[in-house]
Amino acid sequence: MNDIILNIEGLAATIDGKEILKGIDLTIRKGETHAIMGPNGSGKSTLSAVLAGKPNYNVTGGKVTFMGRDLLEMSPEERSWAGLFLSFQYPIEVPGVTNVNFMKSAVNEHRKQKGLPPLSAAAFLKLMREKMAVVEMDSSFSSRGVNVGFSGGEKKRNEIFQMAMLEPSLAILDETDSGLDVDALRIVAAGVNKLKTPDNAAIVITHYQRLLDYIVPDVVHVLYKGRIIKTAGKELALEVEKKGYDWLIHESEA
Amino acid sequence: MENNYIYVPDGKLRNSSSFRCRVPMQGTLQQFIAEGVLSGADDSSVLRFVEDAEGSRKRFVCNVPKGCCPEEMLQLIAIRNNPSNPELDYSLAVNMEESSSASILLCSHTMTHDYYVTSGDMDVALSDNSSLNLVLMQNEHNDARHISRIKVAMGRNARLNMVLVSLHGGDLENSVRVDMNGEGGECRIGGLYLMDRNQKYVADIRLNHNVPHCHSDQIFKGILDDNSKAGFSGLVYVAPDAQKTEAYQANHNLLVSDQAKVDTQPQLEIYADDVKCSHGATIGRMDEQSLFYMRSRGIALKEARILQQLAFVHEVLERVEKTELKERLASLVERRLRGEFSDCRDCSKNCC
Amino acid sequence: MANDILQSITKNEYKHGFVTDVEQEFIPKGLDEDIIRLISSKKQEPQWLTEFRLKAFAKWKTMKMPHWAHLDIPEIDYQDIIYFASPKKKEGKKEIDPELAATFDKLGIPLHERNALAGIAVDAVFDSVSVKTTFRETLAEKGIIFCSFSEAVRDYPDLVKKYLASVVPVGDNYFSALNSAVFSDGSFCYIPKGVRCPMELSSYFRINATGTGQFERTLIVADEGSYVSYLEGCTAPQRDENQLHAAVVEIVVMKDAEVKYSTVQNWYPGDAKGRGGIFNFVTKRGLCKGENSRLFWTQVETGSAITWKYPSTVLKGDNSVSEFYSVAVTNNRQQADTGTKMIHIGKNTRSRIISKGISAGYSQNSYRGLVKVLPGAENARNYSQCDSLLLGDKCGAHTFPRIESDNKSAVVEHEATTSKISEDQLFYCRQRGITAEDAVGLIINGYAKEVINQLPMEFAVEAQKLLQVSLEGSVG
Repeated sequence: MNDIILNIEGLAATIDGKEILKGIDLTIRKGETHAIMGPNGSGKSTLSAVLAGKPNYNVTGGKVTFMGRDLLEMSPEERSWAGLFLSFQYPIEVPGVTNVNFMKSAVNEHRKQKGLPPLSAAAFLKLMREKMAVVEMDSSFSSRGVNVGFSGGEKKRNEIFQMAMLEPSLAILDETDSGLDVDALRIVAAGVNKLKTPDNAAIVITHYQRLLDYIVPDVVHVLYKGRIIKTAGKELALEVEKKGYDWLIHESEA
Repeated sequence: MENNYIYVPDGKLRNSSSFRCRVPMQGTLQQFIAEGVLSGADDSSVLRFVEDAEGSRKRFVCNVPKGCCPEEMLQLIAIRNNPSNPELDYSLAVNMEESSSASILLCSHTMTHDYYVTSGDMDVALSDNSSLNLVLMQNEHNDARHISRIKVAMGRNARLNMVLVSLHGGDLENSVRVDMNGEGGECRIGGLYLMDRNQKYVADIRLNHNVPHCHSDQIFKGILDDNSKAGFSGLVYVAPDAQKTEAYQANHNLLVSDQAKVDTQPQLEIYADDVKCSHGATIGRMDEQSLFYMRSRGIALKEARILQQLAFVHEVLERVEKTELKERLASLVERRLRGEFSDCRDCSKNCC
Repeated sequence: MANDILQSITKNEYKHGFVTDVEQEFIPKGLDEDIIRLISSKKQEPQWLTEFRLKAFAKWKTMKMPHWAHLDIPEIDYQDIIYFASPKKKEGKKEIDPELAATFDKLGIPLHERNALAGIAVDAVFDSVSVKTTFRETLAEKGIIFCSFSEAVRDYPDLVKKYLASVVPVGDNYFSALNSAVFSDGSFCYIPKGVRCPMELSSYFRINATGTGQFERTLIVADEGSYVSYLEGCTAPQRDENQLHAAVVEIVVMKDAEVKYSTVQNWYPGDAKGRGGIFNFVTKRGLCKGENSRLFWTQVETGSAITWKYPSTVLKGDNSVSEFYSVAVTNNRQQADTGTKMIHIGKNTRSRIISKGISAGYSQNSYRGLVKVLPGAENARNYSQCDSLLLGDKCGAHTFPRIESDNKSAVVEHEATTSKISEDQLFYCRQRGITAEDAVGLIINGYAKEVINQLPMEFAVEAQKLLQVSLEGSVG
């Protein structure tokens, strides 16, 4: 009936008193993949952090509805339970906590919220194995500390693995391509594509067209100084790749 | 050429010709305190110590006025040369007024190998937004004992970069207490001690983070040879509510003889939670692998050892901001490590 | 916001605070030579031990309470303590009093061998006496002696005489002197040459009676080439009064032998306002006497109002090794000053110290350590890592290590860090749907894992829960 997953109206936000987002409007429907591009410091990562509810980010205006609920009222874990997933640009290391225990806590908490009993150890491990295959992760990773000692590529694969485990309705991939070589990029992108369904959606935040060769967006937005200055089809990404951002900035400031 | 040598006026020193100080660089102002008597002040200079008696005790004060940032470095050379009165006690004060900045080098020497006990207090006050580079160079004889107590109070956004180079001395005791009383303060302290024979060195450091948002960073390194002994005690204190404090402290020691001893006590006392504090201490030996590596490249063992010791102390000397002074100190340290100071008993000249 | 979460998490609930209603026998309170003679006669001790006690008492009277630790210790009235309390033996009954068995059951320490935890022999000490030692016969088959200290005095006087106070001299410190004068019971354990102890040995200490102190004495001797893993646990009822626990543990490790000594200390910590709780003033020391001997300490310290404890090792034998792993949690008004001493005497001796402090509430948590390398300890090696985690802005975390080296071939390294729980880690966990409370628990357990991993499996799980309980309480 209502196929809108995320609706952002006039979102403004500051960090340490500095205004970073100055009025974002964005609507994302089921089945869609949106790319957000923009030069450094345009507010791309701030947008993803604000949507995920990172503390210290102060929303100063606007409204965000996620799956029909007021997103800004929700705690970070409530947003996760509601189906919002953020793939971190710099995944955090949690020493001493194994990937298995970390994901077990997360998956069972999600199940509890849905009124489901926790998975048995066997069922959980089976699920882990299945989902690790999505990103060609070696099973030895499951007993290692979360992201501890992982290479850049391993960390990003781990993010997509977690996404596979939690099956979000909206995945925000924050510069998932940064620090990846071509092989890792291909594996990560293939993982994301495998997880795509007509019922979920994704926001791909990136600097480069490169990732969009693998994860093809329906819509491309260019963010500049906290505002979306251009929205178009996937061809916009190619144009940006060729011509840079300057022409768009001139256009918007004209 | 003559400009590079200062001859201390006759009458101030028992044997004036025995002391010459090569100025490490152009634009350095020099003053002397010989047996507690101040000389060599240039009245036209802002940056200078003047006598300001504190009761019966001798006291020399350097006041850097508000907003004043002299380019020149002030070198204060303290000399002991009269063994008939072995005990000397005086105090120094440096008062940095708001938004001022200065560089001060304080050298202490004994001129004869007699018994001397020098005790000196030094009070340093850094007002808001002021900045001080302070280098202390201690080069005294084996029979000399020197106790210095340095107290620093720092205001808002004040910056102190202090380097203590203890090159030589029979019994050196340095105590430093820093109170960071204004937000945004930055305090860097470097210490280097090179001890041999029966020399003793003690450092007792207390760094108080009394307010939030201050940064401190200390590193002390020592090389101990022969029967020498070193003790290091360093406390970093973070007061309740001194949030966003960053404090680091390190003490590293190299023992190069069978009889040398080190006792180190780094300490953290922390009453605020949003802090990043760490300390480290090591007592170690020469790295056999790197010695072997150097030897396999044709470097003789003796030279390899010196290279390794130089590498070890490099980190502290790097903290001296004036390049020429840094190079001068580095060459002194190298000569000290090469044993060229072993005749120090009879000589204190040409060193600084 | 993180502070709110921490506050709700750090509300404490002590789960072992119940009192056992059992008829007990007390001696009058107070401390003098007559009391010491009385304790000795209650325990039917030989003359030499009575004299040992009296000498220790004379020594103690000349000593002063130590105040160098970072602790605020209230005045202790040593005349206001009952130094001996024991549950009354029911006439003619050989079996353990069902009340006591139920108490230990409730604490998770079944004393009937048929119900016992697999592979663990227990010596259960209730106030001043050992009430039961399980699996004695099984162990005896291998020549292993595991019994209460009192029984050891009676049955193996030569061994006790030989090793008592051989590692911790009577006058070592104020509390070791006090303990030597008034010690009641504890465990004795001897592993003969070449024997690998097939079970975990464990002592469980329970303080029950009010107004008493507990002064346990434990002695472990691992003869050449033997191995034993030993664990102690401690709990006490919830009371408004402070109770004193001053123990002495001595461990002798011979050539090629290995001892693992683990502690899960969960004495009653006092309430949120700092009322009540145990004063835990303990001297533990091991002597790596022979070549290649090894001693491993692991401690999980969550209880006690005040902890003053420094399990130490004297590395005398060449090539001997010792490690110290510690997690100390303080919450509310608890104070802990704990750490270790590693004294390197022999050649090629190695030691390692891993300490993790966690402070919450209004507590003060200090690591204190000494690494000393004597002139003959060629090639001695030590590495220490001491980390502190602060939960909340009203607590304190302190690190006081000391390193002394008299040998140029030795390498000693110490590192320490202090920080609060990482906001980034917290957010990352929450983004994945883990509640803030669970996330803190997860992160803390991860932080302590290096230490928990050293515990025998059965206790690692317990310890993990204990960490949660000590810091949680109102989760959910």
